[in-house]
Amino acid sequence: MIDYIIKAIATKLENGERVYVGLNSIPALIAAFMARDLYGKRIRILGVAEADNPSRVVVSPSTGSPFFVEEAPVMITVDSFDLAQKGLLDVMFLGPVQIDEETNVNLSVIGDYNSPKVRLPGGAATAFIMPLVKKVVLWNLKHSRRSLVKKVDFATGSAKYSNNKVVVVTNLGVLEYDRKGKVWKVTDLYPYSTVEDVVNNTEFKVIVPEKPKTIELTEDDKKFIEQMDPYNLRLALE
Amino acid sequence: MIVSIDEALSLVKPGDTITVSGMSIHRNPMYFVFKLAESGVRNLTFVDREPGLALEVLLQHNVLSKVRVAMATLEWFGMLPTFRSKIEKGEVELLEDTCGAFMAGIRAGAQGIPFMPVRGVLGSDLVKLHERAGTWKVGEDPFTGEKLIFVKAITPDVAIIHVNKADEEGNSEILGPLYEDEYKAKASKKVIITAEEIVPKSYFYGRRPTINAEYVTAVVHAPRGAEPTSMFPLYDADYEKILAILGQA
Repeated sequence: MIDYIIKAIATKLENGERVYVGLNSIPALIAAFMARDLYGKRIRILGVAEADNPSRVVVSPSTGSPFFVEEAPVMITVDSFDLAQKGLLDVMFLGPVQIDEETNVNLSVIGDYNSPKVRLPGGAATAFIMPLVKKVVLWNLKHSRRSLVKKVDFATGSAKYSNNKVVVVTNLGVLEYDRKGKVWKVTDLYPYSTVEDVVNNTEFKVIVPEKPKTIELTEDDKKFIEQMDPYNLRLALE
Repeated sequence: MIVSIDEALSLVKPGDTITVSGMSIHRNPMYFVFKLAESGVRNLTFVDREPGLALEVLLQHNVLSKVRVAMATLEWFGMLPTFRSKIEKGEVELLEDTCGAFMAGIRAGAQGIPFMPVRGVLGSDLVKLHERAGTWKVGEDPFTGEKLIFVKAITPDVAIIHVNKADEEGNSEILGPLYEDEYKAKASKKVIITAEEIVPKSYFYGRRPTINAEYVTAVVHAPRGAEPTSMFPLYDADYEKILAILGQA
């Protein structure tokens, strides 16, 4: 299942984009390299390992590990994030636990903020960067009415005051936020998922096109993903 | 300026705010952190952007009463278990930050200015938490009127930075990722360098150190001092030992 999410993220990246891969972001890391090296998209990959567009990365338990990046100068995150403030960072990937109908996302707590039922790790760059990049790619591996919610328990970050593109990639498909209609639209499904799956598992209203695209996984895709993640660390995230 | 670990530990006083080098499972000053955990010092405030193992160990040993971080994770190994439990139980006070704002605050501290504006952030519920804490204010660019967050300078009492090489005066070199370590050192009132290797002063002649001696209070020779976190390019993280600290071995 996670391989479909990786492929979906890769398909959302476009020529000319400068993307940043943060901490704890295995799906985004593989997807970015897949877009660049398998699909030949002209993107540059920065990230929390502080490597400037490395030639290759092998997935390890830490997406911040300097030991698994090859052939890259150091570029510190302060400099990458200064690019974001200048409007020169195009894409950021984030993995929130909750996403709501206004593009608010939650990586902070489940329940009341001051006496949480579950304390989560925190949003890292989320609050800072969501309004600044041209495209926000959110991923969530457990699409349900508890993760795609009407209103998040806490808005760690939000793109509601921005005019950027926001997409959500889940285990059931891909949604994109329509800023004019202030509504989420289903854009892609997988061979194993249906429009009904998305609608029934989403707490807010979604717009469904007549013919959503289907994201297929080819043998080449699978081979590429396995090559980048030889220890199958991504599977533990499912 | 090269001192024993005990002399360096005595620079940290109860109630101090500390910050440490590295992030996640990379280049944390673990030799110092383990000693600090055993030292009996209490009620420290910990400030950092994306800490990992050092924060977990300090929380396990009840060294901290307040934590200000943007994210606390050991990534594939999961969340910091003691961070989660202590915050859920209300035993430690948390001020949740966001990367760009931490970077602005620590850079203001480094530059000796009272605050630094940061873009983004608006729309986040973190804004009201920080306004209440007195650490951020929503303001306007006086030239254009653009709405911005002003982040109050972050000026820790003590920074503990693990480096590849240092000379006896404290000039230090870090290889590989730097994170905000240069700014942390410049922003803090006292700086303790723990170094893999002590080099002659001539090593830095005509070369810009990552951290200049002007900022450094003490140097401790600490070979393999980041273990079990990684130290680029010398040694990778020791995953077994990390799991043991988390009680998962």
